[in-house]
Parts: sequence; C-alpha cells; structure tokens
Amino acid sequence: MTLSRLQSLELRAVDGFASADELSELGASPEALDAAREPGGLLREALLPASTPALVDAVMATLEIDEPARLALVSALAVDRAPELADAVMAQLGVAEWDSRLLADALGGGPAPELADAVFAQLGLADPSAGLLAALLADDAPELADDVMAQLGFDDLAFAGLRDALAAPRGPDLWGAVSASLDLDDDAAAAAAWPADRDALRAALADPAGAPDLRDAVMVRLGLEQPVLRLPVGANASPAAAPRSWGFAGVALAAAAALLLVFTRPVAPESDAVMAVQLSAINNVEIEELSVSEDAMVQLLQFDENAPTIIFIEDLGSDEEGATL
Amino acid sequence: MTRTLRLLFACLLSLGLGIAASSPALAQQRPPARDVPAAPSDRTQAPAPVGRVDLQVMVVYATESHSKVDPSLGQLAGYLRNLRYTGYELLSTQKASLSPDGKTSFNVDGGRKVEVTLLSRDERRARMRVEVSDKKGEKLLDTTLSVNRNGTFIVAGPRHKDGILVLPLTATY
Repeated sequence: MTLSRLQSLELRAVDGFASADELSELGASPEALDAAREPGGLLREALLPASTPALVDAVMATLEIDEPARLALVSALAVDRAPELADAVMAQLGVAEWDSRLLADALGGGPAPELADAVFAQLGLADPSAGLLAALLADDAPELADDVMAQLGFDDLAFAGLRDALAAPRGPDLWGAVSASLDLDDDAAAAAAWPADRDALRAALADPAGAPDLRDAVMVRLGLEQPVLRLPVGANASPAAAPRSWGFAGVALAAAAALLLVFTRPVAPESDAVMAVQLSAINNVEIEELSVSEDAMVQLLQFDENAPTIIFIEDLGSDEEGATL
Repeated sequence: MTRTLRLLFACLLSLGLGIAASSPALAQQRPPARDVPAAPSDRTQAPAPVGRVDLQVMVVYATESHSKVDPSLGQLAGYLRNLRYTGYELLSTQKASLSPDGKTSFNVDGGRKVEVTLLSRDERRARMRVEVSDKKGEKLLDTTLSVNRNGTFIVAGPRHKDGILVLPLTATY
C-alpha cells in the first residue's frame, strides 16, 4: 500500500515529526479538512475498507453447506421461538407417549401425579383400603384397646377388676387380706373370738396417729406405780374417800421434797454423756460453696423439711469397702 | 389430823412449789420459747458472749454390725436411721467457742480432722467454713455454708471400722 502526500503528512503529524511547513500544508489541504478533525482520520479511511467484503458465500462454500441446509440454518437462526425439540428428545430417550405426558405434567408444575395405585401394585398390596394399611392411612387413630386386651388374655371380668383397682381414688382395701392372714375373718367364730381386738386393730390402723398418753406406762416402768402426790378432784376430793394415813404422809413428803428442791443447789448434769441430744426445731442450711476431693463423691440429704441437712461424703479412694447409704 | 393442820401443810407445800418453780433448777424443765429455736443438748450452758458462736461436734459411729442405738443421741437417732445403718454409738463430743474469723480444729477418730472457721454471724444465721481432712492430711470436704441460729447440720461418710462416722455440728448463740 502506498501512502499519498497528505497521508504521509498526517502520519508525520501524528508521530510528532512534522515540521511547521508540513503542518501548514496539511491544514490547508481541502481533503484533510474533514479527516483532520481527528488525528489520523486520513489514515483510518485508507485502512478501512469501503465496504464489508462478502464472506458468507466464501464461508458456506468452505463448509460445503448446500442451499437447502443453508436456508434451514438461516431460518433457525432467524426464528423468534425456540424450535420444538421435545418429540425428538423423547424419541431419543425411548419414552412412550403416555409417560411423556406424565413427565411433562410433573415437570410442568401441574398437579402431582397419582402414584399411589402404581406403588401399591408394585408392593403387591392390591387393596389399600383394607386391614393394617387402611389403619395406617386413616385420619383417626384406630381403636386398638379391645384387640390388645384380647391378646393379653384379659376377659372383661378381670379387666373390669383391674380397671377399677387402677382407677380407684384411694388405695385398695387390704383389710380383707390382712384379716384373713391374721385369722380375723368375718365369720361368726372368729368374730366371737376377736370381737374387740379386731375392731380396735382396725380402728388403730385407720385412725391417724395421735399423742398417746404414756404417763401411766412410764410410771409403771419406773416402779412408781402410785404417784407421790395426787390432788383429788371432784368426787374423790372428799376427805372421807381418801385414806387418812396416806394423805397426811403424802402431803408431808411432798412438802419435804419441795423444800429440798428449794434449798438444794441442783447439780449440773454431764452434758456430754447423760443428756440426750435435743435438736432445734428448725435446722436450715444454705450451702454457698462445696468441693470434695477427686476420690470422693458428695450427696446432700434432708429427710424432713426441718431435719438437719446431711452432707454425705463417699470416699471412693479408700481401700475399704464402700460406704452405702 | 385436823382440817386446819391439813390446810396448813397444803399451804406450805404450795409455797414451796411456787418458790421452786421460780428457781433456775426447775426452769430447765420448761419447754423452750417457741420464737427462738431451743439450744440443743446442754441447757445449763450460758449463751455465747456477744459475737461468738459455741460450736459442738459429735462423733457418732454408724455400723451395720449391730442394732444398738446410743440413747444419748436423742432426736438425732431418728434422722440417722434414714441412713440405713442399724447401730449408732456416740464416741465423743467436742466443743469450742469461736469469734468471727476465728478457727478451731477437732480431731476425729481415724486420724481425721474437722476445721471450722466462723466467717460471720448475725441474729439469725451463722456463716462458716467447714473443712474435713483425712488421716493423710488431704482435704476430703471443703464447704462454706450458713446455718440458722442453734441449728444443726451433719457431715457423714468417712469410713470407720466396718461403718462410717457421722459428725453432727451445732452452732449455738
């Protein structure tokens, strides 16, 4: 390619080698008026072809695409919608017509296909509406109680008894069995032999524990069968009822005992050994911190609301046999 | 005997009983006031001076080899029976008086030691630290707790012979 005078001047101007005379000559040239608005415009026009060469025919000839194929390719490239390939793809996959419909529906987001019948047919469960399957598929829980009780061998009578015992608001009545074991049956002979004792035993077992009066028993145990002083009350207060000798001696002894108590200094008992331990009514412990050795285990026990708290340590590292609660 | 003489003796008796009832000797036998928990065991002991706490440690041997219960254990035996041991014997009782921040040590059978530090006390509760060491001097238990006035708590479990030791601790003031 040979550059013209103006193209050479422009090239020199763009590269910065043009002299002032050359720049003046370039600016005065009518061909460079438009092209000179941009540096290198004349060169660009020389390099760019006036028209795009026709390459399609050359490409098609090279690819050996005949006219019908070319027209089809052109049509496919120019089409607005994607070509329908479903049938061709399904044919390639070997999927039958009805399968394709199901697949299409499933893929197309339509309603879920009904597969239950096909699944049950595959599992060999011909009639899904019967038996266990129906129970599993049922909306409500099946009634199994009767079947279970029949399997356990509980007839209605036994079950009723068991049910009543379990549902009873209070514990079962054991008196019958206890009385039978103690030979305290309700027959006439036993009732005659154990009239008062049986009733007393039953009453004692049924009644809540009270505060029994142990005074008399204690006095008898201590050998003081007759109190030192007994102030008569009511009918027994009449002087005629009390033996005169015992009354005078009793009063005298009581007075002497009272005077001895008054004028005798009491001896403090040995608190360590003689007096029994009496605990406070309230024994409340609040544990802030507690740690034991690695070979020990600790338990906190309290057997009653106000009972002393027991910090029970089990030394696991000892060679001796373990302590148990 | 004349009625007048009997009346005179009755009056003397009443006078004597009345004076005796007001004496400290008979006052011991009264039940304690309900608003203040009664001090256990020794009622003749004077209350601790202001700020101090009287500490009592009992050493009880619990065993299954017999079923004798020491009568001196009193109410304590009823609670100890829950431990499933059948026999209980009071080996010793030790006492100490502590002031706040005071520390005392009790030697317990089997070479063990119980150390108690009184941390503080007020009108209602006593706060203390209890440390139990075994015969090797290694600490078996270290606890900080507070107990109500005149209350009792128990440390149990250290092995002794064929049973265990039970250590009731009582803080009175």
